[in-house]
Amino acid sequence: MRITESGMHRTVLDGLYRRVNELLKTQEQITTGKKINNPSDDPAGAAKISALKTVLSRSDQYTRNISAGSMNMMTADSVLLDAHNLLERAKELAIGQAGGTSTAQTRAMAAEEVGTLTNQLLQVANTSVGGIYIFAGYKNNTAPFDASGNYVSDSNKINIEIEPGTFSQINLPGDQIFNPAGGVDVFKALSDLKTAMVGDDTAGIKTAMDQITTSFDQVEGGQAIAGSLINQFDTSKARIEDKVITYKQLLSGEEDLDLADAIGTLNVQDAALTAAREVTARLFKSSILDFLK
Amino acid sequence: MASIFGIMDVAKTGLFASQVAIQTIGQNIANASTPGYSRQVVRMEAQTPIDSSPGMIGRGVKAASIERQYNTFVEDELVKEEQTFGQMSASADSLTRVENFFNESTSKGIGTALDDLFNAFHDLANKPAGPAERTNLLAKADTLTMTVRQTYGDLESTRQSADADVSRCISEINTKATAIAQLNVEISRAEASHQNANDLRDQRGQLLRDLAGQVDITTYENEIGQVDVLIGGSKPIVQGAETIQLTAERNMAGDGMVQVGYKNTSGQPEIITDKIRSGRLKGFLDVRDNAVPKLEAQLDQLATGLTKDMNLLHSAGTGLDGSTGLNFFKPTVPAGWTGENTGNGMISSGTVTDLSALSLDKFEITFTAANTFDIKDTDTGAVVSAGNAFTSGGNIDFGGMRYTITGTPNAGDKFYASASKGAAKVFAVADEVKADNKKIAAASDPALLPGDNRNAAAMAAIGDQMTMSDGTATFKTFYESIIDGAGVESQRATSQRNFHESLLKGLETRRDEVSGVSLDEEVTSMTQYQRSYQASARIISVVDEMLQTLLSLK
Repeated sequence: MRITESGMHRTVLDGLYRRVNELLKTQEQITTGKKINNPSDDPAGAAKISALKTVLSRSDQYTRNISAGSMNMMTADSVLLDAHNLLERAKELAIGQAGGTSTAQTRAMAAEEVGTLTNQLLQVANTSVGGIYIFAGYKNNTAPFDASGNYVSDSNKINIEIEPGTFSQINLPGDQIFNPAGGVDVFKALSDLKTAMVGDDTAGIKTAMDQITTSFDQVEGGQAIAGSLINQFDTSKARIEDKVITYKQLLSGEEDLDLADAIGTLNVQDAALTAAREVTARLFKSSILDFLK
Repeated sequence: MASIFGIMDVAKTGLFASQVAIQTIGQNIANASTPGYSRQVVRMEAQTPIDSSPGMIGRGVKAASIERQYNTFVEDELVKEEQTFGQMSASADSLTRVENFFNESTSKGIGTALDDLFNAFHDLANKPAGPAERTNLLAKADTLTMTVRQTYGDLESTRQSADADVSRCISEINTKATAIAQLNVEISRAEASHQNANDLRDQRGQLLRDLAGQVDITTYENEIGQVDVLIGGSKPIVQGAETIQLTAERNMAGDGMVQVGYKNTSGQPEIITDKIRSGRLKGFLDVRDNAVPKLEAQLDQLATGLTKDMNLLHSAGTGLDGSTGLNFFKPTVPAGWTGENTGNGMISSGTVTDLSALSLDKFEITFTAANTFDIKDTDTGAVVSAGNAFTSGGNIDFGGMRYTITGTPNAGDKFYASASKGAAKVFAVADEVKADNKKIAAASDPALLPGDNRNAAAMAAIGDQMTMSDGTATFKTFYESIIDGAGVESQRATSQRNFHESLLKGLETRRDEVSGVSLDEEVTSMTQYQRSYQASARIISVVDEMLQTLLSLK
């Protein structure tokens, strides 16, 4: 076989180009820290990375959705405890003033305190988080209870998606806690109590007291819903966090470079390139012309 | 009997022959790196001897001819391989650029923008009256539409630059064809006077290889050494001394791109774009007319799908200001265009009559007779309706759209309709919503403002529903199939190019085995002929001495 100089040049250059290309590819991977730098490096892998990123981005969103709901329910849980305490105090006052040892004067003073308790309870029922009233329905940008304790919002539950396909409410419509159909209108009970105290009406005080006692169940019911929702949020959040860890590992496996491996490859490629260059230099060093005089 | 001067003549032929040989070696060495050069070898022959006693006496040597060393089979293979290599390298160069428009691994593209938009709808569902949530949502929607438009623009400019490459290829082909025809004349003239046209043939061979890199060629050599060149298997561009020029015909009625014109007679050039089978020209045509338009069509479908589903939901909802019935994205304007028809029928652009039934496919309206037409969905191949009666200006309804055709179409005329064509180019958030974020319809019921988040939740949820490709893909997975497609195309073209590059290198090595110049070899023969020149000269001096001897006889 005849070997010619230009053929040798071509073969050697071709080899060098290939080596340099491989080296550049590895260098690109090491610089970016990623296995796939162009879709053509691994088209299916590139599509999979994009899909995993969607799952992670959506999971992040679900976590945000959950925090929004969680914050509302934790607030609801805590202020309903306050409501419970306020009603306990009202009941204590009623018990105190229903007995024979109390006088019209003590009842009038107690009536004052009941008035304050009512206002405090109204504040509880009109609790807002970031401008949104949590004891309202869809109409949640204005206070759900007016000054006389009438419910002026609607009974709709606001649902948000907390996991794919799972919806959860993030409000507690106040009419189901403070004046449910067939239940006790708490504000009316307090107002009746105050009226009875002012009017020195022991029987009235007792009736109102019974009403307030019954209303404890309603408030506790609200707390139970808030509690169970908080629970659900926590469970979902934990589940999403687990999923995120798994998917992050999958994504990392799909796109992250094994650095040690890549550096090993780089060294091998670098050595191969150096060897190719040395051979090239030696190849063209001698010619028959060196030997002919 | 040998004469003493005869010996001198023999020596003289030796001198001349060695001189020719050394000159040829010089030519070989000088052209060692010339592309397409074939090594030349002087064929030596003994001169016809003369009858004499004691027998035939030699009359020296002659340089009978200077021959080119080449292997026709390898040369032909090289021409073939250049065609495929040219095609693949042109495709690969463009497609590696194209795939980067869909690179989600190192940059934030359409995929991220899609994720962000649906997340923003979730945020809005969490707080439907929140001004920050609304502002953020609009910003995300704007980013998505802008990214889609930019990507479409990048694809379009890739098509434009491929189009410019097509024009360049055409003029390159013409230049090479002219040069080949000229060499044809020179070669036949030289060979008619029994000269070797070695260098001219090498030049022509190299031109043919270069031409093959541009376009597929078939060559025939005739009896007087002229080469005829056909492109596309049947269209001669070089016939002996004549060339038939290709022309770049800009198709103004269609997409404004250059078509390959072939002008062999007077009058309108014949369009032969479809006949081109390989070479760089084919590579650029493929990129311009197949690979990139396919991606553009998918992007168009994504934009139309988003517009359709989001607008359906949005227009049913209620904004914070009680507004209802508004689009979220600018509404789709279905495109209609005319085929290469003989009649003067014109199709209008369409209107959407039923958004929920809007098809993203491409439709073909074919006139089977002057007043009858069929409608076919070219994406599914399904016939929508056949044998419809045609009235000029009458409503033609299909796929949730309405078109009209006016004028007088002829039998065989075709019209095309597609809701999605070009949609990515104009994909944008509707002006009213963009101007006032209170108009984003997060609520379902105007009576339940502002906390009603059901419409926002529905719009958030549609991001995870199978709305695309006949209910088999979400917007995001549909987009992922575009990434995959762009990656696969680029990968295929690049590996094909590398494969054919190896084949080409292999063939070049085989060509070198026969035709290449080896300096070692040339220098060795040079030494050989130098010695033989010296020896011939020595004979002359011996003859001279012999003459001296004779002349000094007393």
